Amino acid sequence: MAAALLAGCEVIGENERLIPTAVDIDAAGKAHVLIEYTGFRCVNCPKAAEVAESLHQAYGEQLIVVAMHPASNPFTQGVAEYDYTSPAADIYYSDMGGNATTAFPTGNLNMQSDADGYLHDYSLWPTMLAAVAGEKAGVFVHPEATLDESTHQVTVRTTCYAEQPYDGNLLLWLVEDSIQGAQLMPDGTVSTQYYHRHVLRQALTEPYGQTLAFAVQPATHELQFTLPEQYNRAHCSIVAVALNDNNEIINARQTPIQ
Amino acid sequence: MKDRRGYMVLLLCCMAIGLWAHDTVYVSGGIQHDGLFPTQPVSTYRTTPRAPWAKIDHLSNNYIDLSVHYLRMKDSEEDGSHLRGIQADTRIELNQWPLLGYEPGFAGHGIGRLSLKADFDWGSVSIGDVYGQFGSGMLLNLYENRDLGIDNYLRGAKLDVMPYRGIRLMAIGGKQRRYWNCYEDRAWGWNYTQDAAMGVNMELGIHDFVPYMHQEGIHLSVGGSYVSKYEHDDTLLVYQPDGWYRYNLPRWVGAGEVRASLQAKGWDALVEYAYKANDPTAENGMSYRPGQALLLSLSYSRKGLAVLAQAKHSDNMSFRSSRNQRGLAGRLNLLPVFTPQQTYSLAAIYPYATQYATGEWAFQAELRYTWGKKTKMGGKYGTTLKLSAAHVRGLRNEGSWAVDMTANGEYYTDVNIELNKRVTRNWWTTAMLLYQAYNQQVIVGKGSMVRAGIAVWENKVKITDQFTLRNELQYLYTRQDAGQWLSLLLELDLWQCLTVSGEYSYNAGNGSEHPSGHYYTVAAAYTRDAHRLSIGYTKNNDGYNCAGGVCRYMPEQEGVTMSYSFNW
Repeated sequence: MAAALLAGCEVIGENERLIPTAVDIDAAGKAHVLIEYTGFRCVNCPKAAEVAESLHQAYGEQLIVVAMHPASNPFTQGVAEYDYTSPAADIYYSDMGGNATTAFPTGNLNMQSDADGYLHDYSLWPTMLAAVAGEKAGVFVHPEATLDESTHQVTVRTTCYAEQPYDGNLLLWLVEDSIQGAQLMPDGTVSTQYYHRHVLRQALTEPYGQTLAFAVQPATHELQFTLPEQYNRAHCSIVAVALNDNNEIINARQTPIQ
Repeated sequence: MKDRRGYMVLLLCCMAIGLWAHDTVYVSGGIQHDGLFPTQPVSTYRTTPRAPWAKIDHLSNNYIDLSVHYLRMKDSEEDGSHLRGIQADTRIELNQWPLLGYEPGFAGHGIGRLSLKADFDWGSVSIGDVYGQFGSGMLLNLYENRDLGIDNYLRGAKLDVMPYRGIRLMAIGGKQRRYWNCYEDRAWGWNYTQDAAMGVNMELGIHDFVPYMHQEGIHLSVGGSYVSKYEHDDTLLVYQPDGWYRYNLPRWVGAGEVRASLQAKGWDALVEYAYKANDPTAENGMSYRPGQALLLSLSYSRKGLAVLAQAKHSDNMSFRSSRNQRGLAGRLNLLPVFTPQQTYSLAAIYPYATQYATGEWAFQAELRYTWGKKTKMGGKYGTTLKLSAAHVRGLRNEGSWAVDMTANGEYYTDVNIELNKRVTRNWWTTAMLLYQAYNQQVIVGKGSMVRAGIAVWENKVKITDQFTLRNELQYLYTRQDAGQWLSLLLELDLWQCLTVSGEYSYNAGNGSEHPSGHYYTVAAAYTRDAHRLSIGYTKNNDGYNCAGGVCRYMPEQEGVTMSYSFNW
């Protein structure tokens, strides 16, 4: 024990703290979904948002970021004007083990759990993503969304197919990006010019989607909903998610509302 | 299953030893149950979501402690073993559906602790689940606190040696407990970090080597500690504008501490300095900056007078066994908190939580003076005055020793004056005025600076030898947060075994964000010998329960409460 203690301190020099590495991002692979649990009262959440955004830039279409504001956590509560909560966010958060005491920011990748559960600190997101970056998908979803300006009706057509017949679920989310609002910043100030990115506004289907048999032959499924007027259409998009029977995400695609 | 077999073998060995040597064997232990029958399903609580155990109508924390003691009656030097005794400890925890507010990992059941300790003339050896503290705990403080749900022992071994009078050495090491994993593949198991922590501590009593000091009643002690944790390498990536990188993580993180204390003629001085090498963790944002802490304390006491002044600086001194761990579990150290632990309910609404990662400067001073009996100020029975002040501020910059004097740099202030007086032979009274400043944004991550004034008046009247009545009247004024509070407590102690109490609190509210509310608790507690049973009904607002600067969020709850404890 004495020898271990004498050797028990490793000091990393300032120029040695980051080691360049390569991450394999396969453009033909599946798209992953990073769920970011956040709140406008959470002082460290902007840092997590920066990490999510940097990953979004690195992975491009292979990564879809969705920010969820669960009402059951105090970091999202208290000011109606900055209410970005949604019932679906509450359900996912609760089912992943989140509650009023869960430290924010936290997140989840592909609705999957590991030995440490569903929720992970944002410092782990890059590593988690790199571990799955090269995965292939056997199930595919391609959404298209168009808005009728006169009725505010959005028609979502999702083309679904699989390399082999597969029974899964199709889930559709409405996401709004760049919502300007207040945010508590890491330096303790409140920024009213903050842009909340990729906010989940609502699940357009049941929270875990509708049962769907993904066939080899592509099939298109249509859904219509009314886009609330307070949402900025130019920043809204549809995320189509394919789930397996464990409610884990096996592929996803995001498309803007045209 | 493996743990239960081990426990039985342990117990049988101890009993066999006792029978063979005709020495003493006895068993001690305790049972503790704290339960809540919520009146509403857990999922409907304002601040709690639907939880896996929401379908259960009863929430409870349950502990069964058992210790088997073997004491040698023979002179231990006769056979050369120097063995004085052996103690085996175990604790069974049944917390599948715990009370509200505990971290998700706290829920679980099984044998929470198992250890064996042998006492010798020269010290002790422990194997199994061991606790320990070095100095003030700034590097290592392994303890159990059931109110907070903390149990951070090391599973390994501890050696505590006094090779000579005035010299004490301690070595400890093992893997740290981190809640349960019984809902995974291993049932009846507990989770612990896959890596290890270890430490050594030395205390040297100079006064034991200098006869003059011993004769004059001067106690001078110096000490030092070293704690190191080993954690396997991990691939933690970060994306920078120029590409991907991985963190070069230290597998060994070491921390050292030196301390000195001097006690003489009523004076007590302590200085303690700790340094931690680079320890990038999720809690400090993967910072490689070393951590430091300095503690200075000076006090004086004599009959009727006690004075205390102390200061503490800490910076990046969170020391955990796992770099990715957050929350209450997995902490190796516990920085002393220099804020008072308030016991009156309204004074405890805004408790301080130590800022481990970002650091702080904390100052505390206290004066306690007692006017004796039959004096002008003391009256017939004496009067005690206590003045207390605590102030905590942030650091100006990362790694800085300078104090942040900006408005947001004030983390916490508590200034209070308390008067205790025995008015008559059967009447005691206490009056207290407090001012508190509480930086919600820093301490709990949301809100603003709360400034509150609190007044408390407590009386205890011994009506007869069998009946004692105690009452508390409290008032809190603030323009921030939830606004004003008024609280009244009545407690009747009957026949020295039955206590009946009722507490009512009214919160006036503060705008739509904080609606007004009525909160109350009624309870009856019966104590007989080692048994204590309490039954009551409560409706509580949400808040924080803190001890030693570590806090747990407690959601709002309403329901029938029941507590039982038995110790033998």
